[in-house]
Amino acid sequence: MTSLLETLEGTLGAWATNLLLGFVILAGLITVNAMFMVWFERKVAGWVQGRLGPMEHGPQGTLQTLLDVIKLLGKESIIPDSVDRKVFLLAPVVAFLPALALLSLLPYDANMTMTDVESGLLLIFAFGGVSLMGIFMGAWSSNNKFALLGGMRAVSQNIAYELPLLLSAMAVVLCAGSLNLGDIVAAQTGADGLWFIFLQPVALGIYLIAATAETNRAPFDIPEAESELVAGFHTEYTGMGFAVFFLAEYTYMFIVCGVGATLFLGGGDGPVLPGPVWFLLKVYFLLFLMVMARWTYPRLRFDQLMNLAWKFLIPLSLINLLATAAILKLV
Amino acid sequence: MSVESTTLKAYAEHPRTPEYGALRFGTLTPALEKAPEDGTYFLNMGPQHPSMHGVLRLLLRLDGEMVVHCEPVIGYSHRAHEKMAERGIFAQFLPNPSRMDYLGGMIYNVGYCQAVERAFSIEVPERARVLRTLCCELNRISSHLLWFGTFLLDLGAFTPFLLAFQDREKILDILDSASGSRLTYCYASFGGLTLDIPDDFAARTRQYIKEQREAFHTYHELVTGNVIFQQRCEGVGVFSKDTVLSYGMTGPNARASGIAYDVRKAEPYGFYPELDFEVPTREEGDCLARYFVRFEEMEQSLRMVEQCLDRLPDGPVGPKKPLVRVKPKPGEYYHCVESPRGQFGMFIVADKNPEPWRIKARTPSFSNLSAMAEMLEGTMVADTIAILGSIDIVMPEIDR
Amino acid sequence: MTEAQAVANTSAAVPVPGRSVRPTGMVGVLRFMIRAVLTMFVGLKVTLRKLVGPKVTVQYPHEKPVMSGAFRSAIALVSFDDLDGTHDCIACDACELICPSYCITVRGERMPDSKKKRATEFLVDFSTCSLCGLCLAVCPTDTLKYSSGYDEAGYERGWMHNLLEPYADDPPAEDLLALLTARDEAKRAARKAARVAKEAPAPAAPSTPDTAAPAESDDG
Repeated sequence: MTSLLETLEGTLGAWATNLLLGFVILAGLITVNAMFMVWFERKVAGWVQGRLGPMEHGPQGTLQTLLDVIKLLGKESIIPDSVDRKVFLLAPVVAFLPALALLSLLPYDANMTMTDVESGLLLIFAFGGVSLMGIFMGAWSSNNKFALLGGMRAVSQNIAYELPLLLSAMAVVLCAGSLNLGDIVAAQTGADGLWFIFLQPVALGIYLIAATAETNRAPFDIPEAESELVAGFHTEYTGMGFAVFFLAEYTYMFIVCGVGATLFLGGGDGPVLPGPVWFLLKVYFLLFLMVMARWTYPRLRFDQLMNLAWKFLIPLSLINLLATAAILKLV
Repeated sequence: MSVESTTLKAYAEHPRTPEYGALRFGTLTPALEKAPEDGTYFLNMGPQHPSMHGVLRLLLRLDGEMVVHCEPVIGYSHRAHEKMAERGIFAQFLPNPSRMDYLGGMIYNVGYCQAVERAFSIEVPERARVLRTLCCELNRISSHLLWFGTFLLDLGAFTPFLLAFQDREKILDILDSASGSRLTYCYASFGGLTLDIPDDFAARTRQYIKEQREAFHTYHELVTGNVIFQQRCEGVGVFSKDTVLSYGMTGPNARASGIAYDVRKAEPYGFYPELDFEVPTREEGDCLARYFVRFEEMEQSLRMVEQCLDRLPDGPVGPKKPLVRVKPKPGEYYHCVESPRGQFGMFIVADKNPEPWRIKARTPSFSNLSAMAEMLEGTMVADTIAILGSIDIVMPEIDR
Repeated sequence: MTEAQAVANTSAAVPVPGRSVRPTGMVGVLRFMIRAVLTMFVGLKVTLRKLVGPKVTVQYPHEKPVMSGAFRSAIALVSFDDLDGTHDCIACDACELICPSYCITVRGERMPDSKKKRATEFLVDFSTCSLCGLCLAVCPTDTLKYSSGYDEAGYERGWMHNLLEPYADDPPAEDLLALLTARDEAKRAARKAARVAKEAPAPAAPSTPDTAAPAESDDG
């Protein structure tokens, strides 16, 4: 293993080797995460509903997702004549690629961030907006008024919930004193470090709600709801296009929960087990909460969703931010 | 049929229709055909859709989010039940009522048998009378449970659907042990029931009642108190008393708007005159009121089942071999029962032949849907699904 | 409404959460928000409890559910003990004529040296059968019953149930004539005895054949 690394470093240089290695690991993480999340969601859904979920293929149905992907690959990709072909084919890619970039910004352990930049948190939220463009591109290019309506709703929902997401993260940044994710983790670890969930419980609540809305998950899944009148933005997508949108969604879920774990649960902090393991445990705990929310609550109507963001979450997160600033100044 | 026929002419001259023109078979009304100079657009909620309401087609003209005109198109499940009735003797129509409303199959089956028995003076033993009422009330609970599950599925909550179905499964198993069928029953026949209940029926039913009351706790915690659910249903889809009365809406929809009409109290049949139960009503008339009314009806049905079990007499449940050939008395007869959706009536025209001359089924969902179509104008399109779910229609009984 | 609640309460009914009131004023809004968040936690508690609770799935085909004794599936011919395990279909066509879905086809022929008929062909198109039970009701020899298999599947469009298939290896009709006639006589006698017992409640000797009512009746 180490000799292979040394050879690579010799030929490509340290920076290129890091890049290649990181890319391979993150691509693997995306794939494994998607497969695991689909299985996990189906299992949790089944158990919450008194059923068993997938059981036939593999122990407890673990091979089910792989077989489903193989089936999906074999499906005919139907592209309607009247769509804007370039945009139509590019949309899933634009939705998905930022997720890959964002995974490299997460601190899997104290010194294990692939891309350690001073304003890591800012970059994450910026890239999230790019992913939103992919959704709108898909909706617009479909040449389908209902997909367009669904896409427009998705865009307004995402924009509305960006603000509470940012503002609750800002409260944590105030407590930690830096936008760098590594520094935020460091502020929570150590002898005098306290996980920010204890200092900022309200911010965690707002963050989780906003994160669920950002990823278009229930109870905020109007843009992809099947039983509503207006079909979702991905109506015209079949086969692999559809699969890439959902890969993007699951990866983005992982990212927002990863940021949540970093900001509020201390990243890789924890006894006995190595850092990355703790990080993954915390991320999957938050993902578990998001999955449970889907199977517990009914959907919000679109105007109620927007009301919640603009009239409730934003004022609340602003008050939280002001209170944090005031307390930090006085203490 | 052309516009000149009297019925269509009357429709075309109805105050609501002049600006919309005459109705032409097979085409859209002009209101939906004309070009949208007024900025409205046309939305077709097609006969196939993931919402759980059977093959209903809703043609909506929308102004932004508001519904300007709504026209339901029905007939996709028409199977000519009433024609089938004319082709055979009265007994050969027995499988059909259950298929008209498959969620209230027992109630429809019993309703038809009671109509024929009332018409032709056929006696029913006491045990059969009590058992029929018992099974009808169990059927009512199972229909309301399914309504609860599908209503919440329309609202986007996936779990209550399965929880309701698991409770419903117990009822289906109980009724299966008695009658042999789970959904579409041919249990009652003229003169009583075809089979007596098994020995463990009473014990299983009592056990089920206990479990159902605990399950109601779960439903109230998971759904009823939930703020998202209440916000989606409160004040949504209000039916005024006038609408209810002019369209002949019956059942929980009418009772939720303050009209306390229940066929079991107004024109009692079966064992109901001797049962002690309340008819829940609400005044608000919105989705939440209909929800509460149906839950309270389920609770009352549980009470009725308990009373029937306590007062079940011994004896035969009917003739040894089911009565297949009845002696018809010429005339017109009408008998109505309370189905989970409202008043279900059977109008029988008999002559001296063993085949019915005409059987007309008055189904509650037809009136309920007509009222909803008028009420939907002026509401938001996002509420359409919630309203459609809350009035609990079953398409096959509209189309028959 | 309260009387319904009061009455319902007497039978251990469930307390129902009321309708939420529209909040007014700052304090009202705050209380509403807090209560709203609490309802979310209550819902989560329910689903978490169900997550670890018992599951109801019956994993077919590894576990096969057993249906109740009364369960209705495709009709079949009863195999009678007093007939050496064969059926008693006399091809009277009553079931074929009463079936509202026209799914039964029965053919029979007279047995040699007798007026009795026996079925030679009994086909049921189960895809149109509505399990109404009218055929069981009109069968004069009670030879029809429901089977209990729920996993029926046909592989061709014209697939029919052949009810005589389990009886394909039975001895020919002539050998059974004696048994069949004996069964007929036994049923006739039983009907007579039942009628007599109904008319004369005190246990008495069976009446003479003259006073007995005609043996034929088409209802039960």
